[in-house]
Amino acid sequence: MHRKSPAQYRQFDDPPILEEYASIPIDTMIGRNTDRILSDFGGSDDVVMREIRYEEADAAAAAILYIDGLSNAAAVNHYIFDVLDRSLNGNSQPQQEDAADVNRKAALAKELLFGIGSIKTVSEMASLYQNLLSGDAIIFLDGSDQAYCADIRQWEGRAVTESTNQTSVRGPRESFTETLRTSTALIRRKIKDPRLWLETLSIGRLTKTDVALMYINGLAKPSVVEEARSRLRAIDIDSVLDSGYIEELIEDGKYSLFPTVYNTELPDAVAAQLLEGKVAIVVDGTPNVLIVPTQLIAFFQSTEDYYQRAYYASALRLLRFCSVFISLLLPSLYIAITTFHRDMLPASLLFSLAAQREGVPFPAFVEALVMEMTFEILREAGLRMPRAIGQAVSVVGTLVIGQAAVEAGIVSAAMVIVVSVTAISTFTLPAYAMSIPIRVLRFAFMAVAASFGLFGIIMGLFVLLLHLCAQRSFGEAYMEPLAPYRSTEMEDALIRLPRWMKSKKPDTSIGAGRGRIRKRW
Amino acid sequence: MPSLIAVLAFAAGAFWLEAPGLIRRKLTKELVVFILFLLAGTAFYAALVLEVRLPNLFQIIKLVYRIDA
Amino acid sequence: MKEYTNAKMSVRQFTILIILASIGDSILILPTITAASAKQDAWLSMVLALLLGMAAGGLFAAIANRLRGESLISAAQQRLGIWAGSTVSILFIIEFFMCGLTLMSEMGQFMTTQLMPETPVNAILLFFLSVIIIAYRYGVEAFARMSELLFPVFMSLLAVLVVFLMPQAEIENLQPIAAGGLGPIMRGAFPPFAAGFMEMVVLLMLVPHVAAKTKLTRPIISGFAIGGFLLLVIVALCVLVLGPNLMETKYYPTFVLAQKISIGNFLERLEAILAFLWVITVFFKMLLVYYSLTSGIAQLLRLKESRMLTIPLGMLLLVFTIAGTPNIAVYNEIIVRDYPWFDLSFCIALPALFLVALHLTRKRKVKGG
Repeated sequence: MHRKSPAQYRQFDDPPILEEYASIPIDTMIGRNTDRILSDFGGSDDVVMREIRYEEADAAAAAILYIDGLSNAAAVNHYIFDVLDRSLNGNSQPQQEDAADVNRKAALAKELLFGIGSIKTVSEMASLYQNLLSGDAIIFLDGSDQAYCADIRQWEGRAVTESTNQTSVRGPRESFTETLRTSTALIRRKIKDPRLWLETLSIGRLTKTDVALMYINGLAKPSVVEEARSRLRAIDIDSVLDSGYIEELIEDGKYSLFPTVYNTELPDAVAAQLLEGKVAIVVDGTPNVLIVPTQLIAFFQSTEDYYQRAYYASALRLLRFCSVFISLLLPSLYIAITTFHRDMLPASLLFSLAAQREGVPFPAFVEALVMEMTFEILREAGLRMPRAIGQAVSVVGTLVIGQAAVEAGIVSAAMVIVVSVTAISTFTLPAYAMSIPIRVLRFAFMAVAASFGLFGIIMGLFVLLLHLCAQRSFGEAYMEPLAPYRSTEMEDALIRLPRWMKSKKPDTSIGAGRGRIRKRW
Repeated sequence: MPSLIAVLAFAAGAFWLEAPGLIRRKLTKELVVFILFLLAGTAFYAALVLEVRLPNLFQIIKLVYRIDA
Repeated sequence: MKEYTNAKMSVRQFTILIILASIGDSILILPTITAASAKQDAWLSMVLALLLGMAAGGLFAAIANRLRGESLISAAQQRLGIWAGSTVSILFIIEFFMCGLTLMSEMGQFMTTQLMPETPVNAILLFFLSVIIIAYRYGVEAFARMSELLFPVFMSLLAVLVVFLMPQAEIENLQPIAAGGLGPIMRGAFPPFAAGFMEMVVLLMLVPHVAAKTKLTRPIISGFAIGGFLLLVIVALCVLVLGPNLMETKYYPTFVLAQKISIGNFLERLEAILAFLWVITVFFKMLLVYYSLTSGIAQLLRLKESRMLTIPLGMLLLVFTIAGTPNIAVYNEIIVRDYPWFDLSFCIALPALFLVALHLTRKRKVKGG
């Protein structure tokens, strides 16, 4: 073998400009092809090349190239190497391209196809690299200006397990994995209809991440699909390591705290939203799937609402809405009432609050600010801590520090209660993405409450509502179905009506597409 | 005095917020109108802060409409 | 930034805006003013005002239907020619500005005397105005949707107010009915008619943004009807629960009403409910007025954009509000005695003339063309 040593391949200092590679054809001489490829890779050790050489000439009759770790090496041996060996049997020197040669190649291709099942041909380097780096084995034949790509992809991936972030009591527990094909298959298993369409794009100049667009043709609005497609195509970025990258680049609410793209790890959530006419964006390398367009209400809904009994689910949903208000406004209300509107409290409560605040040196706003900041720090720390210590520190943090602070006279006991209740109610939201704006806005409301009391809180709510009402997500209003009011959609928004109570005819505004598919409950 | 500076700072802030957009889009008439109104607003606000007596518009209404004034 | 000619609100949103804005600041100051003339017949005055209001609504609807999708001021510019059109427009803009001043004054006075006495009134006014400006800059669609969202909240709070006060209502407070004759009742009807209905001429500036396939008569009339009815309920409640004397003497009787709610000796002094109620109504009325003012000036001067006017106009409003209300008593006197006449001339007489002019120019066009 006259392969160069890896060090010799690394002598080039300027990296190849892969954008030009689309126009570079495959050389008929295998040696030149493999040289170029190996030098582009800098002699990386996981690029495996196996050659079948002519007995007499110093050239290769065939070569197989694959990346160890991305391809099934056993398949290379059994299916490719054996087949090549047999077909090239007897050729001891380079042949001229002639009729027999063409027939030989056709027969070879057919045999490979039987063994492997998926063979593509490529004639230029860019697609060759695309396929090689996705795990295909590239087969070169001497004298041919085309190469074969055999799909023998196999790599170690995480198995389909339970989701750690989005747990459910009743309902399917599988969650997506980092492999695109596995994730799309999980969705296909939920919706066995040929009208579930899938388009793949490759995004990211260096990562060339596979991104799949899935939607149900006939339910999804064509304009929304087209909008999603064009926004994805317009992305010009070096790397896509998580769906978060894509979310930032396609979302409507770039300056908004609130998410305008929904993301989930659960296939049943995705399937449910696809059935409503939404579009799913699955990104290779991450289990988080994006869904567009989305509404504010979606972040308050959990798939489990649809599996549990309707009355229970409705009550839980209402509870969630209350929790959001508490989480957002409780500290501000406390500050407003204790600072500006003391006469609103019943006398006994007033006395005990006043007594508590007796020794506290700071005004209510500073107290609240300090406690909230402490809590945010504890929360973030708890996320990153090794599991062994994590539990202990959070318990220590909340109970002991809070208690100590009260006894030291830095904060009042009521404040600790307020902060704890606030923090716990934040966790009732099923979508983590919504808890972030709430946590941030809580501080804004506290500031407003400290300056203008209850009036300030009301005005702050107005500004918040205005912002939400003005927000759009891929052409649909963010606050639908509350405003503009859509009566048929409302059955599902604030509460969950039992299925037998729902109206049969769906409202045609969201996702009615060409309208040939009707939703049946 | 400090309130006067605050008023001027506020007017400057308003100018800085709106003017670049107008200039960029070459809306000259709008820019002129904006500057006029901003000057008027700043002038009156400054007058208020400097405790210059401003006309009470409600008294004007009373003058016009009160039959037995 | 978008020029809002594309932004559309639904007919329902339009109606809701009218309802909320017609209640406007009346919910706070009106009962006192009406009771000053009509005493225990204040509710009858309100009925009369409601009827007059429907008539005004008819006038506005007639104009709205003739506007053919343009706003009041742009139509004036277009159809009446440069000189007449601009004069009419300037007069309307004066009306909008003054109306804005009254709203801000009343809001400031209420906050300073009742809710937040320690806070300087300038700060409160500035804060309120900032939110109004923010609302304007978010656009018609946004605040129309917000009104749709807040309307159920408003109605439920009002229902809570009424339900919890009914036990304290005494029917004797209504008597003797019409003791002073029709005179006091009619005098008492004039201010509510002005504040609640006449000032709603601002709705004519929203016409281009309503996505309606049919005439606008129904939303306008029903909006006035519902708004007026709610005001009637409130005034009646004031008479029933507080009695005419208390109504007359207190500046903000509805606030006193809210303070009187007591549920089982535990939940008391729920002024927060009323605070939320009137903030909603005053906010939307001020927003409509401000919208009319800003868009009106932009349309008068034929500007392509109105956004940059927001802050300077805000400054002017703020300054003249403070300059105009050095003293609550003087302000109230003018508001009761003189301002309704101002409203009458600018909100009824002027639009009526405008309607006639519209009719004539159309006839002339039909004849000549």
